[in-house]
Amino acid sequence: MEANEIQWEFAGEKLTLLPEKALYLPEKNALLLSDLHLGKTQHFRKNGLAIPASAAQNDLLRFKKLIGRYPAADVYFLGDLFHSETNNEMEAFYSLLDQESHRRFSLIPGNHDVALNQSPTLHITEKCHPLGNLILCHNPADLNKAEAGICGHIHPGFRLKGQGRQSLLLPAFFRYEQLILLPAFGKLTGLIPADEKGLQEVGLIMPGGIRTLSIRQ
Amino acid sequence: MNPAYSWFDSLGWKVQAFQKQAWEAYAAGKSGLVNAPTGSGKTYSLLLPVLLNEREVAPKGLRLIWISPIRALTKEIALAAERAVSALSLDWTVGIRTGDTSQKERSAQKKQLPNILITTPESLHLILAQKNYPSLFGNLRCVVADEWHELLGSKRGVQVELALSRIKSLQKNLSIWGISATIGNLIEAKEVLLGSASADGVIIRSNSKKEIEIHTLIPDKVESFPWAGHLGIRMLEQVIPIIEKSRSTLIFTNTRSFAEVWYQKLLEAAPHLAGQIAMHHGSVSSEIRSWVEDQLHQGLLKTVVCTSSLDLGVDFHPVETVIQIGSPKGVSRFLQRAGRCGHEPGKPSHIWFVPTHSLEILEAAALREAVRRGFMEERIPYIRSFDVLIQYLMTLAVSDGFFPDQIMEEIQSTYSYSSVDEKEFQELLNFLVMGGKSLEAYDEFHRVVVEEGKYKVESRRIAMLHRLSIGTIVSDQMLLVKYRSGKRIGQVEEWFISQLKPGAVFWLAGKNLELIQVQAMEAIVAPSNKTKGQVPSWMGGRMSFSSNLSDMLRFKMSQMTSAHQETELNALDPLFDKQKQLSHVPHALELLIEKIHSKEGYHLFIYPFEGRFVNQALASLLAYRLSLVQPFTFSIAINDYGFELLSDQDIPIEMALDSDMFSADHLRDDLMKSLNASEMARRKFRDIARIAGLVFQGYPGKPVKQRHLQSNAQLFFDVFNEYEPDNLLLRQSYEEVLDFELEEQRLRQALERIHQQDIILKYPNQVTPFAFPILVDRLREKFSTETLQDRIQKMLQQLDEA
Repeated sequence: MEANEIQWEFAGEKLTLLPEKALYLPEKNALLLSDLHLGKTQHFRKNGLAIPASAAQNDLLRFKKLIGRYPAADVYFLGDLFHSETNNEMEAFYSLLDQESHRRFSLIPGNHDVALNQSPTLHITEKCHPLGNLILCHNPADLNKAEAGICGHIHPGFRLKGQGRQSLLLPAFFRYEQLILLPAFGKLTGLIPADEKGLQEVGLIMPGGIRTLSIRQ
Repeated sequence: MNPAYSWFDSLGWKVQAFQKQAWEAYAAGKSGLVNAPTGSGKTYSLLLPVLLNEREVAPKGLRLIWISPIRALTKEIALAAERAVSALSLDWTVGIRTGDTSQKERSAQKKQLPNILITTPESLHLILAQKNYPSLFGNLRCVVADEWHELLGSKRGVQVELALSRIKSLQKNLSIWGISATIGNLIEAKEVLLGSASADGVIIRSNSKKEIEIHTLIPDKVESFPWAGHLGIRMLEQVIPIIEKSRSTLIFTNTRSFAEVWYQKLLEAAPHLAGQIAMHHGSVSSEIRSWVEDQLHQGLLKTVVCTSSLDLGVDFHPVETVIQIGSPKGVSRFLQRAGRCGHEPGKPSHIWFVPTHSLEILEAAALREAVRRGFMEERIPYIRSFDVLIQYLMTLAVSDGFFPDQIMEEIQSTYSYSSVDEKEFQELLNFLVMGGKSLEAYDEFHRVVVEEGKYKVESRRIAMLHRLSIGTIVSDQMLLVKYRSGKRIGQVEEWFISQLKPGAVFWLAGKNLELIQVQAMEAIVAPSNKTKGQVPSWMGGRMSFSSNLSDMLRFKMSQMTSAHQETELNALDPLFDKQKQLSHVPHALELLIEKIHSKEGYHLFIYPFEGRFVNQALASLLAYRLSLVQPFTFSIAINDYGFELLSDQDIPIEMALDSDMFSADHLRDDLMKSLNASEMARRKFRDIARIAGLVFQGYPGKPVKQRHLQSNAQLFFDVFNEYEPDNLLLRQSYEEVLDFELEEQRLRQALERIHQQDIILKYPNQVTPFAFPILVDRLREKFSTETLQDRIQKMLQQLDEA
């Protein structure tokens, strides 16, 4: 059955998987999320592609609700926080960070986070950032194979199959031997069926919650 | 017109009645439609009066625009025009403007257009996207839309309507003519072309009839002929002798990938034909295509495997035989193809129909019956295509800008948009200016700006993006395939290449190619010696049987249930015996339903024999009505004969039949609701979003820096549904499905017929000959009224049990 949250242990660290597409580390009091792609709506609109403007507010609202619920002192964005160049959506995000100044926000930069400057509210780390036994990194390709990593970048989706040729692609956490992939937090990001080779289990996100599914290889 | 008479005389040609009528009508300042088949001299029926009417040897400026649906034809028209110009001792310039025209020539045309411009609908719109375009049309006398029947049923026809509405208001003194093959709705074709001025237009008919002989290639062993398939390669051995006996043969396949396969297999099976076989389809580069056409004209090719790319245009006299592989889906298309050969007067055209699976043999009989009865399909024009209108308004905004009042009046004079009211037009303007219904705070939407009442585009980047997107009405994202040396081979859809790894081998333009790398929008390849390769499959629409052909198919079907004496029907006896033994063969007053349980789930097969589209509509309707009893998820497969509903739970059809599942009551309402549960509207939206410029997908041959903008129409569909459910484009996608895919009118007739039929429900213990081709179809429609949660739970449960 699906639950409000599930617990995994990975490289000796305790992880809480949230159906809000984020990871909470209780022992580190840290919240991890990836691929928000903020500003994508505005970026489209700036270039004349008329996606409804109201769609933009949704991701920020969800983010606001999420950090309201978890008292994390540290919030890590695992890359692709912003979709592209400066726009109004980003300003709204920064002002939200200002209101939350009791927390520390860090960005592990991804391929979309071009030319970002350090700011008092958002600390920008190196490409790979250690956290306990884990390495946080945007792109799994940048990871040293010997290290246990948590990454984004892929926007992973898991294909669930059923009788009568049914199938559904759902957002999920993907767990491999040395790697956990986070689902993309941003709504306008799309799902990519991720590699099932070496996949051990997935944290399947569904309308009513989240559950673990063991993968038999 | 005396010079024309003497020129015809000198060539030994006779001026035909319809040509004379057209010349006179043009001289009288009329507009209208010439109804004549290819090879009948239709080009000169309109070209000559334009050349001769004003007795000018070397006129100034653009005089005649000749619109052709496909690029391959433009060259032929230009040759015909040049021949006439020189024979009549005139000094008119002739030029071509299409997607193939070089940048250099385009710049030259920007300064000075030729007297006669031969172009496509897209390229005509690109001219409207140029600054100062109104000055180009000051000397224009006539616009001709060639092969109008072909453009009519597509959004490119709407593009022609829109361009004409603009040009007409710039140059009041203009004749507009169309040339059309015979279709079921010629009068409507004229109305669409001429818009509100249609009442004065004339229709001139050539009355030339061609005799056509249809032969069916019956498989040697019908018993072992496959029950399903589309390729028909099993018939290869029987096709080769036909090719050998004929001077030159055209082999038509229904898709480009089948053409590739047939070409390769022909070479393998008949190596002595090497050097005399060629291939022609829309993804082969224009250089290769023109080479093939030249060789055909000169009679140097024994056979050419082709697709609809050779449906139209001038005829190849050396061609004596036409072979059609698989169902042509419509009578008109079949006749058009048959007409590509045997153009000597009095000689009949021969066409061979090659079935690709058993039941298709019945189609051959149906086709012959339809031809005998003189049936012709209608081409249904698109109306109220807001996507094309948005693209057009952008085009005008990019060039000189536009004033809405004037343009609204112009578009209301077209057939397509005559019913668009002020409110809808305002909605479109809002969409362009504000990217939605209202101005949002802090919004940075920049597309069209309004300055002193004039709507225009200021951003050069947006202007460029728009110009690049004008040609996208038909094509998906294509990648250019070329050798390292730069020689072009053709184009393939991006998704095909994206699933290949470097080193993989595939077939294109009859060559084995190894993928070296993909850079920007180009795939670099090298020749490969491997004999096995993947065949690119091009998506393309899946065509449906026309209602005429469906009628004839049901007629032939009913003949199968009584005594018959026709080669095709006799050949099918073993198959129908098997069907009868396993289930039932329905006669005209019966509707057969088969219910089967397999490892895959619960199957329901229903055979209305109504053509793919109506069957699709019936399937959606039934799926929806069944789901009123309990929530259901179906996988739906459809062909021209029938459809399958497949589910993970038992389908209570017995109970459903008691409650009149096929009633025509609440039809439209139920259909609309069924659309929400299926993916049809979502799929339609993909094209609409592209045409309306909602998604930008880059451009072949250009390194695209806008990667961040590459998005997917699916996301847009979801976002619109959630945030702007009454969006114009979203509504259009539903309407297009209802009008063109579900064909509500035909559906109603089908339901009435079903109402009079007895329903025969059978429980075969294995898959029947009727069911098999549907069962193995992998392109399926999804339909679900179950909640996402329920579906996930069931799948997880099945996973646990497995």
